[in-house]
Amino acid sequence: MFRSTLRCANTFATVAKQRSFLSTIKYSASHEYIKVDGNTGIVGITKHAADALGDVVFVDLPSVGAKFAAGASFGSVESVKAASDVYSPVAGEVLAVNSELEGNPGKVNESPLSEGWFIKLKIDNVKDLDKLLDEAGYKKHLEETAH
Amino acid sequence: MKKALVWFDLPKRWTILQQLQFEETVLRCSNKNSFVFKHGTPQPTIVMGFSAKPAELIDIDAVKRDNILVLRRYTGGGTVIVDHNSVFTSWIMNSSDANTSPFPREIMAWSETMFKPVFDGCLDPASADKFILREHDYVIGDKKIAGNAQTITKDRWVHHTSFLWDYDNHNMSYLSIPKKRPEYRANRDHNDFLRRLKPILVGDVAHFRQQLLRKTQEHYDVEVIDKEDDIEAFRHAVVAEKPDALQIRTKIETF
Repeated sequence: MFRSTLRCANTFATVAKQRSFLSTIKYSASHEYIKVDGNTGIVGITKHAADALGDVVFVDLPSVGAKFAAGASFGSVESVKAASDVYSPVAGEVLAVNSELEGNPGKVNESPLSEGWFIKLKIDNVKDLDKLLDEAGYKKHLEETAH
Repeated sequence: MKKALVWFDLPKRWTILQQLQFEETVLRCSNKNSFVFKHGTPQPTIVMGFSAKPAELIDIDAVKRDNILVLRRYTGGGTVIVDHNSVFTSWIMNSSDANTSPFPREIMAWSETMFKPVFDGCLDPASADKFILREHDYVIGDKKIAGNAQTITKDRWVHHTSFLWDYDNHNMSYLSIPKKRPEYRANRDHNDFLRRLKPILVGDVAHFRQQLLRKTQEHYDVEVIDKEDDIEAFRHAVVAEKPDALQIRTKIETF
């Protein structure tokens, strides 16, 4: 019975670790996030970036199937006077784009981490996520680069 | 120690299309701080922002009838019509060398610190109105004197401006009043909202350029390149160094 309990505990620990991994959000120094789900991730810009850009009026997104290296620009977001490049946090292939943003780019300001997402990526190598910042690291980055 | 900056005086015969494509090359392929100065473009040209919807911003029938050239540029922002009377300036900077974050408001605020002393020195002393940044526009009094726009990358940005040194009232008729406009504009039409610089500045364009160069030299170690061969040599050199980075988005718009 003890072995059975131990097996159950290990199973639960594995599932808990997987669930924690499933809900991981990582950040790049250029203010993108990636919400990881196994070997896929949803990419957008952080609330800090959305606030700093001002009212978003247009988002230029790639096509499904496009491939990007880590750190490569995959599109741009336009706010009142500026077109700002956005960068892929990891290498991957675009599985989906958020077509809602075409008619409603303001979603990026309203809910950047949910309805304002940009692309869904198939991640080439999940180990690349280790090079990104966790939430504490991103907050520290913001403090260090504040003007 | 001052950071280096290359100041380009572009040839008068270059068009605004050539200028914008040169700027994009410098932004993407160079790692040097640069400034572009240009007086005029040979023919009247409408220049729209990156995501512009022409039907909302210009009188397409009149544009086609009069064969006015229309461009879509690589920066955000609104629609302008430029010609031989316009004065163009473009800052193409490493964020760290301007001490700005890569976001529009900070860049605009930085640009105000560079331009305000120049305008304070050039404005007719009899003028009570002063140069300020209002919402996202450069104004003197409550009238707009220029159009601004930006492109921002990870480490570099462009902030460029078309100043209304002078303009033809008729040309403004090709532009619609935009739906999205700053609050201070209210419902004013172009002629009531815009202001010419020529009548209110002391000196000519060359004087304005000289004052701007002096201001820039206070902050940066400036190298001036004004010969077309040297400008082209610079372009070829930076493209040769980073051919994969080159991305030209400024294009002629066709209807």
